[in-house]
Amino acid sequence: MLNLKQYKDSPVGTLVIIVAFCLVCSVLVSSAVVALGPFKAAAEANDRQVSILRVSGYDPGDAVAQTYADHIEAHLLDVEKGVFVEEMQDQADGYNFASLSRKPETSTAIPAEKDVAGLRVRATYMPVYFVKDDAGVVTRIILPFYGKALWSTAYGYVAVDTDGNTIRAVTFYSHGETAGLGGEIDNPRWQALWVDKKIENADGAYSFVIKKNADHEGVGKDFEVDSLSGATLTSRGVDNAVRYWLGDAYKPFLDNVRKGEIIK
Amino acid sequence: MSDVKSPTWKEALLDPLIANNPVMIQVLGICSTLAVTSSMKTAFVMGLSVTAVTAISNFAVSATRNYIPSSVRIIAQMTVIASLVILVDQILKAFAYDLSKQLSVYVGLIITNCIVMGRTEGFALKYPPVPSFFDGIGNGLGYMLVLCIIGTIREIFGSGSWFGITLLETVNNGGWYVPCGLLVMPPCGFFLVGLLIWLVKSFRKELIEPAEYDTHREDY
Amino acid sequence: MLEHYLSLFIKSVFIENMALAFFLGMCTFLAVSKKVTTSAGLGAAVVMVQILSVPANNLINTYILMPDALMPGLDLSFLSFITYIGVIAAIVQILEMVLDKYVPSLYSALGIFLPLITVNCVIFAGVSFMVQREYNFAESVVYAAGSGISWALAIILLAAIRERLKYSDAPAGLRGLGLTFITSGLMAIGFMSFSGIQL
Repeated sequence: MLNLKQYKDSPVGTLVIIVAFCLVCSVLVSSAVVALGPFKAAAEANDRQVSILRVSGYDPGDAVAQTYADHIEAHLLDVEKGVFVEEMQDQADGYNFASLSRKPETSTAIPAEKDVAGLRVRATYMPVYFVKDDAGVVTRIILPFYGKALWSTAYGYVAVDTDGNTIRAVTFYSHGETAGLGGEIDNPRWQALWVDKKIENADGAYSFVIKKNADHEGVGKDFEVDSLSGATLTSRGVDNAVRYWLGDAYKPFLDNVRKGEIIK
Repeated sequence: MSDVKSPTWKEALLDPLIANNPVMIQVLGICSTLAVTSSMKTAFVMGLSVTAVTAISNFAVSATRNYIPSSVRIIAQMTVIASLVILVDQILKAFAYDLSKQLSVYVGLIITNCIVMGRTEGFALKYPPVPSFFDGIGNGLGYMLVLCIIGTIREIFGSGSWFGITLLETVNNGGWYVPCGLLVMPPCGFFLVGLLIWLVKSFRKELIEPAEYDTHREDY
Repeated sequence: MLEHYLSLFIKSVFIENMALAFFLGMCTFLAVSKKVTTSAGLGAAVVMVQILSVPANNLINTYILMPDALMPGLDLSFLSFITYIGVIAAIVQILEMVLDKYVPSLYSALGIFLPLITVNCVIFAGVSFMVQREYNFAESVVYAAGSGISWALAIILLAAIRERLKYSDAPAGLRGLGLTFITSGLMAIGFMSFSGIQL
């Protein structure tokens, strides 16, 4: 050891010491990553399952994985055709549409005139989650949606009734909006305003809207949600995201649901 | 090999808390001070992470200080710090996934946090491991103290809560408190740090910067 | 397509200004902003290092670190931090040597700032944001230029204000650092007004 100290500034000494340094560090880091890997994967899965369950109508308490396994059934949707891709069923749960939308082979470009949410591309397939009650009857359909808000892309889930037209719940699981202003999209009181709103009116025209001074009594009361005060642009971003996904991208699928072709 | 007269562990721990606070006096680690203090939870976890990284890297660098060749000492320190930050990041991802999402890139930015590098370079390379370890803890805690002061002000008056516990029921939740929107805005961190520095300097006059220009000159 | 790159550039310079919207590189931002000329030098050095290191790390990330990139089933993404900082340090070092040898005039202007830049978090954050937002190579070049320029712009503006501020009659405790903080805060509020722009 004494020798090493003496020669530490010679080229060979430097090299030996640095290699030793790197070895120790890499062993430390790698073993920690391997040891923590399962916990990390579990935390990620748990995070996703909690968000999905939040709009499912079931309160998981501590048994997140169990409730999820009991009540949620994932399917992979071919967005354009509005039907499930049965042969890829096994990949549906946790299908990472956000990162797959950036690969040309798994994504579809959104034409500029339809791209109200500012996405440019989306994944060709999207995961869709069925909520089943204890008897196995589908009660809700959970659809992921996202769009550019003010600072960031906001990602959320919206739960739609089996009639394919009534919103049952909404949640956001990832966004970078200012806490207290745009961040209020996480406020349960605001999210409660979405409940029972209809996506389309009786004529089949898209009617859901987030706007200032929403109509609470008249014709608009089934479709209009108040925008967040102090967060006009975030609200507009969320409105655009819903408009794109529920009004356009998922329309073939929702139409099929309304016709009763998906849930028999 | 004899060391220069080293501070005792007590001095090393207490000095950076108030007297030589890394944020207020040394003006290091400002980036994250501003960015993660809009809520107490993130500020607290960030403070803990920085404390852990500073303490352990100080210890490791100090323990090997006689072997580190001076030509590559920066890279060697970087390696130690980066490894520790990866550890912290992985631990957060495994056990506090929600928080790690909120902290996003700022966990990684601990690597370039000047406090960590400044302490290994300025303290650990000169003194033995034990005082270095406590110096790291002291500086980390000094950083955490400032983070928590700013986080407290911003969260209580900006969102009406503290550590996520509602103290003042906000209007958005049907209460009476109209939160001060400015406080949750990122720029507010600048004002609070600026005012804190003013406060510190009005108690410790020796820190006041000399005027570069006499504004009370009467010859014009 | 050009439109997309242009809007990314504008966005990274003004809306997502590294110094005034994300508060990165604050240590040097506050310490080296006393004179416009020095801050311009530092700003130029940051732009240069940023343009080199973000795309370089983008390639490394895509072809080595990403899951399944090097060989199927191998996920090296946990090594990201250590790789990025290593690459940045190496690039700074190489840049210093190249400038010294071939462009001595530029080296004498920027040289003293280069070592500072390794630990400037603007570079590291630029790389982290690039990875987090999954930019492709071309986007990463545009983003690197934009984010570097955004920081340079901010520090030059602050330095220009500080050159005037020294003639102001501020309370003694606020003089210098305190006032600089508050000025930067006001600048940041100014830059927030860009946030509503839809690109």
